Amino acid sequence: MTVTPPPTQETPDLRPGLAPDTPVTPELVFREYAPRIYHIARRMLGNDADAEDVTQDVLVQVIRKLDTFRGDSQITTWLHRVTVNAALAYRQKRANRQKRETHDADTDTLEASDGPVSRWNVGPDEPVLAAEQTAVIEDAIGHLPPPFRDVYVLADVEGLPNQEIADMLGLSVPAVKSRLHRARLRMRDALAPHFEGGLAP
Amino acid sequence: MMTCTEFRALLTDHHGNELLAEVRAQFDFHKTDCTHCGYFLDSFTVTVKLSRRLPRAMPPGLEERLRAGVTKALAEPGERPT
Repeated sequence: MTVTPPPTQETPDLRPGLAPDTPVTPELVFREYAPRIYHIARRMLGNDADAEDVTQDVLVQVIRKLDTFRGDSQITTWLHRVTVNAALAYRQKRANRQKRETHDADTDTLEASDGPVSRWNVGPDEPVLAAEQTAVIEDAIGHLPPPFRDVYVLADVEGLPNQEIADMLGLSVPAVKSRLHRARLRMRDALAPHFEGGLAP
Repeated sequence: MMTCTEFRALLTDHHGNELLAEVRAQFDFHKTDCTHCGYFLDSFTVTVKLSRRLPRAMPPGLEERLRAGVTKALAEPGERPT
């Protein structure tokens, strides 16, 4: 199977989603799914090169199974699961290779600050994130301990429902919510110095 | 009377619109009564919303490398299980 290059360098925004009965072709996989796979893997692994390896492996799996999918709605749930599994397996292999100590989410502490709170000078409805804001948020995500980062990426970056995340990660829904809450508090604290405006209207 | 600690523990439930009516009333009262917690709630909400709007484009050249790598992997007879 030959995969033809795209007509442009731009990758479209994936947020709007596709119609449930959209036929799944290799071109659609590259155009619509590759960025999603890549960014989930990149944020979970915190490494561009590792994410590229995982993305390629997942894309090969997806394209080999294209005939078994009836449309976009069926493939997306499967795609998330395969991507998360591939990223977790890659991380485990990497940890074993580097003999790195793994995190235990139950004993990991994510303390939120109790310091003074100021109003932020950024609105949630501003249409486009500035490059500097994007870098700050990406850095904060990268500094979350992996068990919390996984849940945060899937829930708040990708917008997946808690039940789907629980199924993918082998957690209960309350455990997902607990990790998500603690991750959000940590994220808020990490972003606060960059977004606090004090006297902003 | 809800404390600041209790208020902050409920932020994710509030964000998911999962607070029971009675708790929600206490939550809303505390939000109005405590300026710091009001700011905290606003910044918590902004954090979640901004994360949802991170850019999704792939780095330059990556799509081409992926297309080449996938084409090569699909052409290989010995498929690597993943």
